[in-house]
Amino acid sequence: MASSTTLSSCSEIPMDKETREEIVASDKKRKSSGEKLFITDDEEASSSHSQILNSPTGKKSSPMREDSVPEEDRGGDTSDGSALSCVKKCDDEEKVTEEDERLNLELTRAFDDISVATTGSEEDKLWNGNNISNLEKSENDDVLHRTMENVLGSGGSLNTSMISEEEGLDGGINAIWKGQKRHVFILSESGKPIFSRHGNEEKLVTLFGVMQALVSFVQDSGDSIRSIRMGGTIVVFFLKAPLILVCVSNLGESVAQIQTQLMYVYNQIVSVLTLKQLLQIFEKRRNYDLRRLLSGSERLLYNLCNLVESDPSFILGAVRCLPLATSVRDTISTTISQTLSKLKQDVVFAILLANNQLVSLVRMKKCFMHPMDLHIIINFIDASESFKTAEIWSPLCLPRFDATGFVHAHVSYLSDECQACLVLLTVNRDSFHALSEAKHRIVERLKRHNCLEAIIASMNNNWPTMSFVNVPEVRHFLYKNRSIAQFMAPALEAPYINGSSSLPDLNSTTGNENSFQNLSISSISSSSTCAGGTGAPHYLPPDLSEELQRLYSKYYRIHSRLHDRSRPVSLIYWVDDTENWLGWLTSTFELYVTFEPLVKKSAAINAINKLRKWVKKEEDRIFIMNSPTF
Amino acid sequence: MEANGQNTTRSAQIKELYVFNSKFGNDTDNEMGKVLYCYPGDTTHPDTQLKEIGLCEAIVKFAQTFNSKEPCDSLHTLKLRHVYYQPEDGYWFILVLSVPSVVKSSPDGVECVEYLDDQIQDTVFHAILKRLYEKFVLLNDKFETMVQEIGLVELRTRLKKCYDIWVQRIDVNQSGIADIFRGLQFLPLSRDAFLRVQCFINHLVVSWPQIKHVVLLQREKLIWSGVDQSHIQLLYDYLVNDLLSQHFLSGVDKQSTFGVIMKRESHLTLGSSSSSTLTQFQPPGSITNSRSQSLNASQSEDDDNASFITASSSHTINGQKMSSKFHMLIYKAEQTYLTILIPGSSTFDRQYISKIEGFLNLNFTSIARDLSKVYRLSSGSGLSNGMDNQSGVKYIYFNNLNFAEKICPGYQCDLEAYKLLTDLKQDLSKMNENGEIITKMVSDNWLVAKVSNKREFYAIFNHKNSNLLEIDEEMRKLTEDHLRNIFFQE
Repeated sequence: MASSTTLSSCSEIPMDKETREEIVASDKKRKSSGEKLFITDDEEASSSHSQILNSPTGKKSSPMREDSVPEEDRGGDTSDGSALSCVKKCDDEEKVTEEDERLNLELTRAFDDISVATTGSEEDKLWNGNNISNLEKSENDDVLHRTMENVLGSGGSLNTSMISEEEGLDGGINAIWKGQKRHVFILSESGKPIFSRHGNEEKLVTLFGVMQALVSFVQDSGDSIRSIRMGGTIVVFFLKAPLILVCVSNLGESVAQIQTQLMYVYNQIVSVLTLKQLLQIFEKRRNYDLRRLLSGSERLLYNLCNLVESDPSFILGAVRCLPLATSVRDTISTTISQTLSKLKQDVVFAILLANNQLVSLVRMKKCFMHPMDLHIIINFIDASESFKTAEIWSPLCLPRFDATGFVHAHVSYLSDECQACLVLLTVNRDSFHALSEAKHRIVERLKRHNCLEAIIASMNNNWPTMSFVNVPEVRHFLYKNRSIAQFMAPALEAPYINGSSSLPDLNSTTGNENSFQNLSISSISSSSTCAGGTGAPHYLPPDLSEELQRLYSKYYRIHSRLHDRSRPVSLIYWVDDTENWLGWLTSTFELYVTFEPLVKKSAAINAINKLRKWVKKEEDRIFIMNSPTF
Repeated sequence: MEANGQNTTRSAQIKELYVFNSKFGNDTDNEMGKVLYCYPGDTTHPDTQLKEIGLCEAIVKFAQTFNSKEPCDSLHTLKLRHVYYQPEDGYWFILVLSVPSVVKSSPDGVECVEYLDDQIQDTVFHAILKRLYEKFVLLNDKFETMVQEIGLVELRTRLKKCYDIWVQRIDVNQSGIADIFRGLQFLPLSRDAFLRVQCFINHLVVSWPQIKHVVLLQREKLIWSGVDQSHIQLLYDYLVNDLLSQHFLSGVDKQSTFGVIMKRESHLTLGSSSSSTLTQFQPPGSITNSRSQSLNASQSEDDDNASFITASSSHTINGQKMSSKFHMLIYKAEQTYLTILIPGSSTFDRQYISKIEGFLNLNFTSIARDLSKVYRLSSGSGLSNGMDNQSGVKYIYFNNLNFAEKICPGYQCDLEAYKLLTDLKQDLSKMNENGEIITKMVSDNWLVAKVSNKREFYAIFNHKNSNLLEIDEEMRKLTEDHLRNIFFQE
């Protein structure tokens, strides 16, 4: 439909008549043809989704299963003496039961593997830190109990007077904390603090207690709490046993959007522990302090919270691709696929990322990558600065692919010059050396075909700019191809970025690298301060310019109208004091456009048709249209 | 409840309404003391009441942790919606609504309930609560004042008397953007006619200095208001929807003669800022019947320009705001209603009323006769009737400056579209003073929402095959036809 060139242009936009059923139907077709890169969220909505998701894992369950019972096996085969003894000592001091200790040991294996990534000195610091903070946590358990009793009152009814009188509530709460635009809290169902985006969760113990009390109070009447609104602030509760996730936002997102964001956060935790372990821990000990297991991976949560705010791909449920000529991309994919298929190392996915954008994804036949999983991987890479200096071998759970077990990730950057990151995911836990070798072979071949240069060029290129797209009425846009769950956006330009600060520009290599470097550094140092029990870990929230925040907020607003559950609209044209906006949802694409403020509607519509033609023309470059397999 | 194939839908309902203040009933023996009103009072167990209030208190405190500037509006749970409203310090309303749901049963008998949270719009029910409160204050007094003057017991009695009836009148499922506006309908008059009305009213006020305010209505349309801006909306709503609609507007035949229709003592409190300055919009008519009521309009003598202070913000001020009571007289001639407010402090007896009636008999009836002609003309050429319905356009116009409202009948016919208007209003209000949204629903209806210069215009176009530009053009025509004199920023 994009190709209809006789543009009585205005008639183009409103003409699409396809209903939602058709969307689903068309997606199903695509799905069955097996040509897709991802399983999209649209498909998820369709009822047949579970079968589709399950069938690939089910079929190849034999290699997966072996690996997805990691606890027992892992306890035996890896040996990292120092880390182990640390944990043991610490546990003795806590006088936990034997069973708990065993559980703890098993679970820390998972963490050990991740922490291989960090350099030795960092690792020591982290571990020492954990011991100390674990001790403190155990002391805090009692405090928590006491506050919980206070808050809940003896009879389990809400005792509100305690909420205000409890000095603890004010302990971690000050003006700066209150002024934050967005909070994310994670707690266990029994009210144990697990994570707070801002501030030290230890000092917010009472607040966590109140949240838990509210949840269980409403639960007692057979209901479940969803959200609280006060003016421009919204508090969203996301109950996902065994965890409670809470987001407080002043940014004007819809409840559904915030729930999606919290789903990502939840998936991030699952990806560290696997769902199976997460459930087991709390089955065995409702009161378990999950921070013990997550320590070391806080950086992932902080980074994810930042990404979710500053990158529209999370709300769109789509992935951005690094623009590349089809021939180059094909060469890359073929190289990866050929090298790995010879290897027979049960590689499920091979993913090449650059600047958080997808360069290539090669998958095993019948295995699909959900965009949500890919975002977890992107966050994993993005949050870990140390990956740049070494090859990493780490277990990783992809919640949508298989929430019960780990796959193993071989992560490495292509070269010092070419900061693209190759992630090889396998079910075979002994493949490190084989994959490491394969990676070198891949890099060599890519060098021979001049692919590295092409990637570097594209990473630095900031392509496409709006002047290249050449639709003068349009300032910025997002285009999502719904069938392949990919989207593209042009490079940000004024007024949405402040001249020198290039941080918010997702395309800008240097800006991003720097900012994330800073974040990582602060994460490490904050972990050690946390160990001392003083400061809370502080990740700087993404420094979006006000204008960019406004741009994204408006896109999100429009997105929520297009995807509203009860009253969805298919087209929205919005005029305000600063810009004109358009949101358009069809069966094949989603389009969000920002126009110059004084544009006439007829001109805007012409511009959109021009824009769509441009996208069509460049489609092969900005999207990955095919999905190579091993 | 309607059975729909395999799906059963349950519509939204008012489950409970509470008015409470935590400062009462602090001691453990008398916890129920904090409950000032509960609907349905007979069937709601005290424990349930206390639980609900406890939850509200907890939520409000919790919410303050994150936003201490704005009050807590609502709590959404899967099955219920709790809307909160605090009109006076410490006095809270809680409206508990059941979320509409669809029970879907699959062929193998598994039932799954889907709750349609979005069907209930917070802003609408917030407005409804506000109206409930304001109307109570109009007829009685502010909560705190009443507690001080006549005591808690009496306050409880009166709350029960009013709200037991009012709550049942709320139509949960039809509520929407019109409940937020609560606008006034004006009767447009020619310059001559308006001057006549103005002369008459000035004459009236000068001859009878006790008369503080005059409000003139032609059927449900407002011609003249001498009541302060901030109160006319409320008084108008009360006159048209409570008093006149039941007994007068429809029932009394046009030719009925002069006489006292009703005389009763009650207390109307009009917030805090009315003054004797006449805010005039448009002109008047004549009398037949008279009604006397004592209105207790709390009126501050000294702040003429304090208008737009809402009741909730002014109530904390102690003795400063004098609340003088008003007697209300309503006279009817033809279909014209003359409402006169006389301060309750002035002596006021049958004899006095007779004198006024004598005056009105001479002056009011003829004006009323002329006005009824105007009304017939204006409603004949109506904004909305006939042609709009055929062309499939429904619209609502509201002016925030004078509360003027134009609504075309049948605007609720497509409930989904009607509710979407409230969403769009919210989207627009978040931003700036001016804005426009044109949107196409999945059902192929087009909606336009436009805000400019404090004026709001909403239209629903039932034009299936139109495109954006055609709708834009239609919109231009529509505003030209009906709102010629109103400037809309493009």
